[in-house]
Amino acid sequence: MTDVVDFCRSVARLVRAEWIKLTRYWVVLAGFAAIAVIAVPGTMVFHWAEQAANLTSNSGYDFALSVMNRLIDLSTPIVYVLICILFAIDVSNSTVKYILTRPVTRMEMLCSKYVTALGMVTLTVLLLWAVSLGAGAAYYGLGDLTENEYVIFEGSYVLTQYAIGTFFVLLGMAAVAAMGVTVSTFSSTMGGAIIIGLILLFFFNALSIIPASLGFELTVGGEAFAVPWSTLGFPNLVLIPLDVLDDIPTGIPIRTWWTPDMLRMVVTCSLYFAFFFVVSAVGIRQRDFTL
Amino acid sequence: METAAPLVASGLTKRFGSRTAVQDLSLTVEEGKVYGFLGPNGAGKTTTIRMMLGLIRPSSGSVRIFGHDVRREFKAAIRQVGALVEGPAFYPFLTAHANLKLFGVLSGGVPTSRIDEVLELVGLRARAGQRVDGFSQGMRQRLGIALALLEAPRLLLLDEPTNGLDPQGTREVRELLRRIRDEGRTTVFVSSHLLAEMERICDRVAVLTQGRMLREGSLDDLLGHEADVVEIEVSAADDERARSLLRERFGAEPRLVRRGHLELRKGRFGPADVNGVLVGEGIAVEGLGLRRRTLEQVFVELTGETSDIQ
Repeated sequence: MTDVVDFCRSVARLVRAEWIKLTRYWVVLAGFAAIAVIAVPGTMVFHWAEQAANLTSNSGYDFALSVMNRLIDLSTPIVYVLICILFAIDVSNSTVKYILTRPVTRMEMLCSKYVTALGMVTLTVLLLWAVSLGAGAAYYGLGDLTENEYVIFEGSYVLTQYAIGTFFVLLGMAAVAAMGVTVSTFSSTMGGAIIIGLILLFFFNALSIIPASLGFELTVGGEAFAVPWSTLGFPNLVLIPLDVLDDIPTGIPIRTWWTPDMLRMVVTCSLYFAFFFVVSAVGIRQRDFTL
Repeated sequence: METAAPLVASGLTKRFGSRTAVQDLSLTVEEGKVYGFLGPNGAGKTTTIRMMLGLIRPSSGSVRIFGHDVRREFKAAIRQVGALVEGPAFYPFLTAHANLKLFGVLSGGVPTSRIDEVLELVGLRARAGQRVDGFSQGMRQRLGIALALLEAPRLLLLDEPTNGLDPQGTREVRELLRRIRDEGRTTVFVSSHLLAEMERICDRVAVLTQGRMLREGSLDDLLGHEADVVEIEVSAADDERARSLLRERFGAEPRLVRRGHLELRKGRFGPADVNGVLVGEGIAVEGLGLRRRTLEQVFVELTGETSDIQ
């Protein structure tokens, strides 16, 4: 028990040090500023385009959802690149040798990077959540969801579903973040980490364009499931929860979140997260820091 | 109860592929002493220190710090160590003070007064608020030493601490290490190829070359207790003739330190014999003295290395 407490304390200290460092590093600040800069004018442009094409549903939630969908797509590579440099920043500055000559184990250091990466992802999603809902409220209002003055869904219901969907988005982005930390663990320079990281992101995104008719069968409990190869392109699976939320503005309630697509997303992203964690843990344990 | 030695390395070996960087190195550092780890560049000093700190895994052998095995009881071992390994490294976008504060967080936090104290100690108090990317190499080196001292460690591991320092800075580091030694609370393990500096501060030294330890002992063991080197000064025009004459007469190889300045290891002959031979052959002796061997001389005798040793 004391070992676990000691481990958690060390990780907490490391995470604190990470945030002290990152919030003073201009690259990270610029990255989050870029996300904000993309989000705010992007939302305004999207609203203008909706108005111009007369395609608006006049629903603040519908607008927020559409905006969130696009902003997640645009922001994921940025936060991913920032995560790719999490470990590389210490290796390229050689500061890792000081960190590892303090009473800190390599596993604690790795876990602190994961916690920090998840924090960065959460911060990004919360930022996008605030911008999209804020814009929805500003342009159309966020009361009950109505159609011709009939209440289709109460505001609290829509907001709850929206929050659940966002949580699942976070789960998907955690797998992307794990890939970033893993890349960073093996890198010695920030440039190298970013380049290899983007190649991997491109590769896994490319997998998702394999036609859904191609795949393999997985038998679980005597039941066969078709698994398309495109499922392996996990970064794109992040958008599945937002697709589920798409039903709400059309008046269809969400009866279950556990659709086959959602199951596939949760299982695939969890497996990828576990895979990347194991790879990075083995990597950091074996690595000689000859800096 | 007997306390464990601050640092014990046993059979330490490190191979990188087919190249052996350090081979079967064993040493013990006694409490409160300054231990010099000497060797030319590429001798394996930094690799050894990295193994001592757990930054790289030894191919075989072990390191114990105050009785704790570095690999098995890493935290207990490293908690008592302050280190500067192969050049200082900091976050360039943070100030000197912020860097020390950040690294202090890793051990649970260090009071601001202690940060100010170590910055004062290395002469950087006035620069505490300046970003590290504007620091010279010498200032970074001082900050590295400040970081190593930050948590008042019982064992200080310093790898080439005077690298990049000007003569004044080198002298200050020497004084600092002397002060630490005199206080007796901290054991210092310091690697360097600046032999003259090491000779002034170390109680005990190990000489390493090509990954092997050639000799280990106290300075008196290595340099001898008595003055045994004859220093001879003649005119620059006569030095080669004097050299061959002494070689011929005493069977020992005189060392030409610089033009007109020779050194000869004393044997059964003394300064008077040397003077007699040279004057007898018409060479004017401008100076003659007897002193103890320097660490540099011992080092050269042991390793044959001279190129990067000062």
